[in-house]
Amino acid sequence: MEKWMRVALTRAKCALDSGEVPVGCLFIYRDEIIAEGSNIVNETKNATRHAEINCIDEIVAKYRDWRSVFKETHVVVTVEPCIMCASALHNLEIAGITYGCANDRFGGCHSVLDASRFYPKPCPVFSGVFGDEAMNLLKEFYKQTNPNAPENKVKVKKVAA
Amino acid sequence: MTTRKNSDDECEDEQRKKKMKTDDTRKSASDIQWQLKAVLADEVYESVKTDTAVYVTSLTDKSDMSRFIKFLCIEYPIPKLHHLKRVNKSRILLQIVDEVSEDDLKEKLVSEGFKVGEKFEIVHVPSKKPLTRTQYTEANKIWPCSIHENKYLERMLTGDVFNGEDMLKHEKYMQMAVDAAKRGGSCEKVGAVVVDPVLDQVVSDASDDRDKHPLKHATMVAIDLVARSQKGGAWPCSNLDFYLSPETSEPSPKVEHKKRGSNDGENAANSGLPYLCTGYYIYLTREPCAMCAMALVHSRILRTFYGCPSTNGALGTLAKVHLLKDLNHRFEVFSGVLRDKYSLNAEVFEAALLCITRCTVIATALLLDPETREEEENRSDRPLSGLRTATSLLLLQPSRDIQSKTSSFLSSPIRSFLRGTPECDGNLECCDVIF
Repeated sequence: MEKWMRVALTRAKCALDSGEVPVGCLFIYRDEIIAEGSNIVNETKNATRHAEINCIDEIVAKYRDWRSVFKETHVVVTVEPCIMCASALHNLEIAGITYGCANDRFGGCHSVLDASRFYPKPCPVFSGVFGDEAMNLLKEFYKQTNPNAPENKVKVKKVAA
Repeated sequence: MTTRKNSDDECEDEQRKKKMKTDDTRKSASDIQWQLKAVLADEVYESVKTDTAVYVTSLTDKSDMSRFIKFLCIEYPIPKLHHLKRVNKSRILLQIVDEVSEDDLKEKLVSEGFKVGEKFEIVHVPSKKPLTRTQYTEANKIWPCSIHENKYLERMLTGDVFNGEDMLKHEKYMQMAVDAAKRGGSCEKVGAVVVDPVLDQVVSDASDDRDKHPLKHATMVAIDLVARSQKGGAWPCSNLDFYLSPETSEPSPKVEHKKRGSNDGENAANSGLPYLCTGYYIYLTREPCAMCAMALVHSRILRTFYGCPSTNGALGTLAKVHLLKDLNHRFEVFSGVLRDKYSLNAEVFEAALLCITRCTVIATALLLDPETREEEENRSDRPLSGLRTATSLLLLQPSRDIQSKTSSFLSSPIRSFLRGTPECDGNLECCDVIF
């Protein structure tokens, strides 16, 4: 698993360089990487384009029988999947998830909410593989500011009321 | 009559509401047959719990009262019960039982020269401050308390948040979502429409395609189409769906000024561009799953409206993802939009029925088989109690395990029939009825 996590970390570093949240993700099927992804939220202007989502897209495009492929696929990701991604993975009945560090902001495995309880066949989740390395990348990212974030939240709320 | 809501001024809203009531003779709010319901935090609905025991006494010398209260506030402040008043007629709240022993307390009071009753009364009071008027009334019966009344919350509770004009808009957009659900290629009929409420303009209009792609739930598609309207996006737009083209989505300067505050010089074009789904409403025919609910959080949606709850829904049924305190964005959720209008005997959305109305005929035939029917009716846990025909509908109990039971029950004849129908891929588990 450490071997895979190293690859995922390299992927996360690339994301950091291109100004995206540094998360790297691999989908392993029969001891082979069948999809590899990182966040492309800023590039697509779609906040749901997380690394896991991009990998799922790739596999659906590549395999006609993606339903059965997912059931034998293990997901390796540097950061705990968010509630959205964890839900998507449990729903696909993936074989298992291994992540590096916890995600206090959005984590869907244990940090904020445990999404496995929403699904009839949740997959096993493992954590802590090279967690420090993944966390350091995140820290480096959050030192920078998000140039796309709205300027003034109060103003936005005012429009809504 | 104004056609655009561009002010948050409550007074103006109220005035408009009055106007709606009196002089609107066209399609008016009174035509609305459904009831909007805000999906609020659980604590708002909780009944008052008297979970804290306190010592209560009264003074034999009433003239000493003000000195006594002053003394208590300094020596025995109770920050935990800040919402409770110290005095209830002649009875005085002293301290929480767990904080001090009765003897110590009495000794201290007597040493300060207060003439208190022989024995302290123990009263159980609520430790939580009341959030709503209902909770306040209930708590007040136990011990006088104060409330910071939240008028908006009260209106949310009664579903009285929008004026008639807005309600008609909700109906219009939900109708679009229902249409989107109908035209979708997936077996599960779900539709999603994203609207810019300030411009009263549809930004994206999406149908569900989860049979071909596990992520293409209507909500996810709608979010990606919003990105496309901002020159982004990851999925190609299906010819069934719609998004506002980036050229037209840039708001006219006049409106933009109102909407996004002041812009100056060359920055105007940039800062005026929308960011994700900020400021937008989404209309969904049914409650979204956990994935879609979280996608809405990530996209910073302003409000979500849905028709019916769903068994795996995460905005009210299994969880309230929109209210999670740890998340960086929260939003308001309303259910029940257009729900009753399309219900027949039961609360089922028309759109959900498309894929199953044709198999109902066979289901009815199956149910007529006396042995099967009796078997089902006699079951104490009534797993299939919902399986009855209402006019031409097949209703299923809203639970997860029922789906598998139903599919085995209706097994082969239905399946072969469904395979021959263009609306359904023969997979009965997909026929998830919206409740």
